[in-house]
Amino acid sequence: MNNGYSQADETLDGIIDYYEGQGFDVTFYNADQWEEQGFYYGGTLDGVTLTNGGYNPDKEKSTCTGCECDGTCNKPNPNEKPQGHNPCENGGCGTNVNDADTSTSNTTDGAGCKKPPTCDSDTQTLNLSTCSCDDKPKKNWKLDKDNDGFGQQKSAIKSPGGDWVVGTVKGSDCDDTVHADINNNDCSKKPCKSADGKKANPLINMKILPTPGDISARNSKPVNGDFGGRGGNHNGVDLAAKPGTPIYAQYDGKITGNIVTSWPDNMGGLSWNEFRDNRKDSSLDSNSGGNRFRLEVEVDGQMYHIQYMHIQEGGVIHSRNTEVKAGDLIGYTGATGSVQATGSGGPHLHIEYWINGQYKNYADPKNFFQSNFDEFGNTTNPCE
Amino acid sequence: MKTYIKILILSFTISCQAQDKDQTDNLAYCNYDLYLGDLQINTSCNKKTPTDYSISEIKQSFNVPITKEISKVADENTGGNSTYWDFVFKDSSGKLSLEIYDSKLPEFYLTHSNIPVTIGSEVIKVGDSISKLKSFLNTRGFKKQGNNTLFIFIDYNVVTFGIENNSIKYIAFNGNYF
Repeated sequence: MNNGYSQADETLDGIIDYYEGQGFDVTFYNADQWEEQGFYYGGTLDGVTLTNGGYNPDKEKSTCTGCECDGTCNKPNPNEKPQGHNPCENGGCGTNVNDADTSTSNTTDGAGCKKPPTCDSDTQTLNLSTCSCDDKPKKNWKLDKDNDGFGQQKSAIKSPGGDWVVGTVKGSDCDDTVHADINNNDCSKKPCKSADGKKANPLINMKILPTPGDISARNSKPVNGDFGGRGGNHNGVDLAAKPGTPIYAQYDGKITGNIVTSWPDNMGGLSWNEFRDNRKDSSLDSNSGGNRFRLEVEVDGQMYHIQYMHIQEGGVIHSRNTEVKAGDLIGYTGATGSVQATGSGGPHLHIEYWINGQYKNYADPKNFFQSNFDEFGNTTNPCE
Repeated sequence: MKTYIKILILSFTISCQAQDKDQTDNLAYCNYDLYLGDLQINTSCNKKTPTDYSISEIKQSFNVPITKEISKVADENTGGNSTYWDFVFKDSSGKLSLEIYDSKLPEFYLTHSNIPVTIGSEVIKVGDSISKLKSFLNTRGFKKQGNNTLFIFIDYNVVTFGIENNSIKYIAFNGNYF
């Protein structure tokens, strides 16, 4: 192939005039496009003399010898480019780049070919160096530092495979994306949901305080965790839960209300009253509910605010106005606030329902649970 | 007849053992008047609220200077439409922090040695010997937390005694709302 034009014509207009005079339709390429088409390119194109412009016969054939997982070519000279198209694009994998179909071929017969396998995006990642699927690190961590079996914030955690990982886990032994049953270390469990999926329990294990060991004291007034207990002053329900137990949204809604996150789990050896008094000196929140947040929901046309109290340090995981769906993880239970000082029966989730979002306008939370309870606070309907 | 007596004695023994295991069993409810100085702290059973008191009444209840005084309509923390009073009385003998929150019962934290707390007929002060406290607690039942904290329950609410060097370090009163 001959360029057919002289150095004197090597201006943009000269090239256009020449080739159009030869009956060609002229298409211009920028520098990269020009080289992609297999042409040498000796200088800037627009308004500048082209030197050494011309077709590169050596690029009639791509020098790809195979394709990598990421779609790049194996080439003897990495600076060379495939002719016209990249035969490795779109999952292509072939060596005969004279075959125009190689760019879309799925054949695996080429030497050096690496055809990427299809990996399970939930559990695997594509390893480009081996062109194979590697298992993702499992996140259902076992808190190995103190073998407590349930969640506190840890800086060193151990995977099931035994690999130490430095990181932070809030609350759960299990992956946040898996609905964890922290009390039983069964990461496959999820909270009970209604058949239509619009309503869920706030915890996987539902148990109104007192805990099983205190069943005989359920009617003992100081620790009665039921709605209306404690002389009518208990405006919510106390659900027994080890600190770090995941809390789930009962309905679709959005995080709202005054979000308090300033209470730590560790009070430095002080009693709650001493610790609270120190906080008051610095004007920090002194409400005995501890860390807390609310979820605004609508149930049968009625708006409610669900108030969650005694949340673990770091257990408020959403900011205000975050929208959530029924069954979504929204936080972790704890024992902040007055749990340690009021004989309330141990760590628990205090949950209240405010009709129309109005304080002191309470509804019995039990009316909104998927579970029903017997006189001892145990659920009577197994979760399907 | 002997068998019946044995069963009766056995039942009595079991009953006593059960009570010993949980020292809160012999609590009484709705029976105790509680005073902080001259200010009556109404407990749950009385169904009274802090609005039974005026700010001036509260201020005059203690012969200790006020060092902090907050009186306001509660904000979103409490949902609004509620009062929030927070007073600190303090001098060289200690301090009293008194909080009336969300139209609930007053709560207090007391380290002042000259403000007595009256529970029923018992009068207790910060600095009193633990021996006096033991006698008092044993007549009512108590719960213990660690070596330095004791609780008694009064009408669903909680009185906390902090102990240090065999004497009362502080006295606190909390509602049991959450």
